[in-house]
Amino acid sequence: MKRSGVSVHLATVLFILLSFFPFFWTLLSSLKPASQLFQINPPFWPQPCTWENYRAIFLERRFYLNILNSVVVAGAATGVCVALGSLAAYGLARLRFRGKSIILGFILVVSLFPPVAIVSPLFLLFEKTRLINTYLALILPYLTFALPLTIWLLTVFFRQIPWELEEAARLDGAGPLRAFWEVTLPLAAPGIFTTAILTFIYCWNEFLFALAFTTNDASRTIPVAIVMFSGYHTVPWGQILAAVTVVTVPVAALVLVLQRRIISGLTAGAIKG
Amino acid sequence: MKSGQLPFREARWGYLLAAPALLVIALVALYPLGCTLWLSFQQKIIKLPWLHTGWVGLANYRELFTDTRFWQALAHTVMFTVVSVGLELVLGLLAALAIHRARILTGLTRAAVLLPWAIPTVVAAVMWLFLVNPAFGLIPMGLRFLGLPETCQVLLAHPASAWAVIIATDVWKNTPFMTLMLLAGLQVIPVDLYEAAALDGASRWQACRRITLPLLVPAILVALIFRTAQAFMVFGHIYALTGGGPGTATETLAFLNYQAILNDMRFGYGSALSVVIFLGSLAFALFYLSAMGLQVKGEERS
Repeated sequence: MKRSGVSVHLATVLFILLSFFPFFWTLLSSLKPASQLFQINPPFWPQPCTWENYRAIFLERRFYLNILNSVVVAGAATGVCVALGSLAAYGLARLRFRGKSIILGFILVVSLFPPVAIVSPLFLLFEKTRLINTYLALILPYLTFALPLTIWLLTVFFRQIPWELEEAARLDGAGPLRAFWEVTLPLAAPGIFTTAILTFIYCWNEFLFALAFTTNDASRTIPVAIVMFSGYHTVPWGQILAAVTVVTVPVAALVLVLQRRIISGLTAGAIKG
Repeated sequence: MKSGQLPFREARWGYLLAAPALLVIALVALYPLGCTLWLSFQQKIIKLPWLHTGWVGLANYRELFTDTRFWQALAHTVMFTVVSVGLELVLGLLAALAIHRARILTGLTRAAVLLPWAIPTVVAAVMWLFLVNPAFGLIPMGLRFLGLPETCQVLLAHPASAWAVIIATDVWKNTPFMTLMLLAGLQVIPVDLYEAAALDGASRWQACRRITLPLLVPAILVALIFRTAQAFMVFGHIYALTGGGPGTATETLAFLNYQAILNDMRFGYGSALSVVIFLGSLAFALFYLSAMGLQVKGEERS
């Protein structure tokens, strides 16, 4: 018993170390001056620390544009998905009507749909309508995977809401709008918030559409921009690692603060589905 | 349900509420998919505009099925999916069992599980690209330390080691997701089952084999299905790590498809490949739906 306890703790610690180490190494390396970064056996700690790489990505590469693009595209797609998805999920979770399971099955099938399958017509369409390099060219295709995900998650969350409370409020004399506003909405809000976080993360991380439908540095989203830092002959590793650190820190903060919510969303979508 | 009138009104509201979302899905997903199907019967090569553009029937499919590069990419994709998802399942299961029993540092553990999942695939790939850099990466440094010859240290230059790097990146990024799913499955197993087994004198190993694993099957199934569907469309790792190389040794279906469309600008041929990939994933999704249906029925029975 004692021995297996030790091995279990060791395994957990190893798991945590392996998960964090690449991030830690990236952070340390992004602070090293080029002479230490490209050394054959690089030193572990940067000595001295330099902010040169961070200065370069923001002032020379205008990386803030890419961050802005990612925020706008992922934010807009999430907004549209949550608005449309809440309506659909409310109906699917609460009302009884024929064809509900067919609709849910259809949504599940669309969510497993390979994104690459719609790249060619969308590219031709966006080229013709001059939408390449615009936000719309990313927001629209993002809906293909984000909207089914949103509907699915919200349906799962809405099913857990005790709707009797709303009916009780109605019996106590509240109007339908007041019952919805004061009873249902507060009950639904945590599920909507969790869904919004997950949808935002999925859109934020998208790579294929963002690569296919943007052609210049200023319109790229973060993942594409980071990959495109490399030129034909030189790979600016310091800047790449600085950019990775810059975009990972907010994600890490988000994950630390909202971990319970994110986990409930991830497992609700899969286990109870 | 108070009267016969209500279900009718309910149904009307149900359709009305679902309509906008379904309409948008039809517009942004199904309509382009129809266009892909139509394009797959066309010859449309933007780089060679003088070439005849128009209906060519099944020619693109004929070319696809006789193209060794397609079959090679298919084999690569299947190999990648089976090996990575298999490794993720085994490692994820071990990690989930350990974390479930250890109950230490839960906040930190949760962060460790979520962080690799939450970052973009290509960002993970770029971090690994740095770790395997032949000149100053940590992994080749370790290999040098072990005394391996210089040529072995350029990991991305050889097909086998390039695949090892791609798979390692995927396993690092996605094992946490698998762990999370399995942990959630472990947490719903009632504790009294173990107490009863202990009273009956069952060993810990017997309890694990007879209680934990069978009750974990639904969680394993769902996690496997999600990961398999994702792994089958692998694109970001390949693009960021190897670019399909050395040569064509690490090309997958999604990568080949992207190259055919946006590199070679062969929209007809690329669309035919898209249709084939779509049909494959549709078959998988339908299989998934029926598996889920079986699982739900099984739960109702027990």
